[in-house]
Amino acid sequence: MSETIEIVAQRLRDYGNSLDENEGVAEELTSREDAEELLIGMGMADAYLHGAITIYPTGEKHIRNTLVEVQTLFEGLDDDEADDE
Amino acid sequence: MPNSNLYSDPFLKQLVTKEPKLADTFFENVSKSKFSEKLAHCLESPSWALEKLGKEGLKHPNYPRAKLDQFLNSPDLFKESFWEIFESPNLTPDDIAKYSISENPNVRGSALMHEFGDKDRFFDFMSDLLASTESELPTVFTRACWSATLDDRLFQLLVNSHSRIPSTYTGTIGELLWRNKHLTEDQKAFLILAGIEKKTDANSDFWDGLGPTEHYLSSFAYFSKLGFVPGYNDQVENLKSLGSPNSAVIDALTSSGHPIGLLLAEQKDVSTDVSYDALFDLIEPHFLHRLFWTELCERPDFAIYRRNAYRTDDLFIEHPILGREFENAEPSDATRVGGVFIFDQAGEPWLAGTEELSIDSAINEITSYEETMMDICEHVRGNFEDLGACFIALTRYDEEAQLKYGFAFTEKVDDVILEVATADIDSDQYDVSAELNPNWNEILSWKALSDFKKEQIFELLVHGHNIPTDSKLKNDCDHFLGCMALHEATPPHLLKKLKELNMPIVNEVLASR
Repeated sequence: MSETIEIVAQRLRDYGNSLDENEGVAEELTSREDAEELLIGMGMADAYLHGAITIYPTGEKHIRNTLVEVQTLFEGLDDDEADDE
Repeated sequence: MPNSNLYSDPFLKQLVTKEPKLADTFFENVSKSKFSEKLAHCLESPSWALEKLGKEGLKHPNYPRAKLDQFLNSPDLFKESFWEIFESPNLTPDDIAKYSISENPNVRGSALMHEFGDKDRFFDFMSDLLASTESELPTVFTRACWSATLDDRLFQLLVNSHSRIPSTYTGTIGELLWRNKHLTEDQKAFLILAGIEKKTDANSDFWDGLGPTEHYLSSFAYFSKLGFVPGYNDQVENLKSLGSPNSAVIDALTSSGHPIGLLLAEQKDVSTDVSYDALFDLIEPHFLHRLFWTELCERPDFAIYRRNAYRTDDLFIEHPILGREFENAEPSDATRVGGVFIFDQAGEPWLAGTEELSIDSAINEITSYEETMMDICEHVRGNFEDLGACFIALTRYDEEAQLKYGFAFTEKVDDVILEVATADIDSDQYDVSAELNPNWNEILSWKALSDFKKEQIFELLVHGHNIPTDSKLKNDCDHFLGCMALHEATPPHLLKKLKELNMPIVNEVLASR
């Protein structure tokens, strides 16, 4: 069963909040071709949690897809750190 | 009393002599209030009140010697207070001799530069400091340059190093010397001939007195009655610490010619000495603003006007003639115009101000007109914080984006944008306004004053108008002469005198009546 949109949005917000501490991920994210789409997805998730927007199915899909991409970026960082050790 | 650390208050002096019990009541009220430190500057303050001030009272001649001894005999008290101790006029030659051999250069130098200090040893002390290879000169060196009495030999020694910058001051030794009030006329002439210039501050003369300075201590008796909070950014609540206004003290001070008594219709008519200090105590607390503006605002062409700009938030009036100079002045540099002051709601209970941030200003603050999330994060904000606010600010008026990304705004959207924008916004981005506070019971009224009091206020303003150099106070006086010319309650004989001043703006106002 898939996670609720609230949980997905919260996880995305947590990733967003930690971007400033993870320069490597931030750099990798902003160098991607779809960087703008990912930032919009994170922004939507945060705005949704603030109660500033409601989202339709298209919006929910965009947020979920963004989480998948951002999560992969962060996991890639974890893998790199493990390799370094 | 501008630019003075210790002054005599002529009105308190009379109160102490004629009504000693009332004077004691007054000193006790101030002593218990949040303004007790003001006692330290007034020569009439009694010993018992100064004693309660601790080290702040040390420089006062009435500070008890026994209490001074406590500071001298306690190593800890001495260490934390020696700068104040050396300002005490009650130190003896023996005290100074004792500290002239201190190992601490700041203490030794302070003792040597004292009027009881050894002048030859002081010269050697300063000479050694200048010759020292130490990069940092102690603080006492800076203090000596701007506050010691310098004999010609020491003056020459300092002049020879005039371009050096002591580490404890941002200017040169030459600029420090210019701040020294004890320089002789010959020494000043020497500095001029040697091309040694004062530290550049174009506004220092213009604002004379209207920066942080002292009101007569006796004026505090009126402050609680009039609701004026002395001190920048202070709170109206602090006035309560002065207790209820004491009408017997106020009556006695007015009888001795206190200038603030002129503003109160119910007080008896007494001549006031025309002076800069009297003007300062009427204008700086904005009493004359209230006296004239409150009633002039009843006119359809006169209103309170607040305008903010970079690093300022000016309060003035709108009027076709009296408001013209302000209207035409550069907003960030208009506080100098006569009558204008910087608005501070906490200290101006007679006004009611509002500050609003429009949603468009908030959006511009967050996005800085950029069109992508990337640019906002990287170029405007420099971080990835508040991504939600950035997103909604970016898409607030973009219906296409709402369709493309599948979302709609809720009624909370603007609150979220405003909250984030408010956190970093400059005060000049707000839409500001002010009006007379409808809940304020104004007791100052030009209409209610006797012709005698009006005449006295006119004389004071003319004194300010005649200040030979351009200054804020002079400009303020000119503005209030204009208000006087406009006010319907100004008697004909004063209108005639106003005309005789031959001031263009006053004549224009008179012609418009």
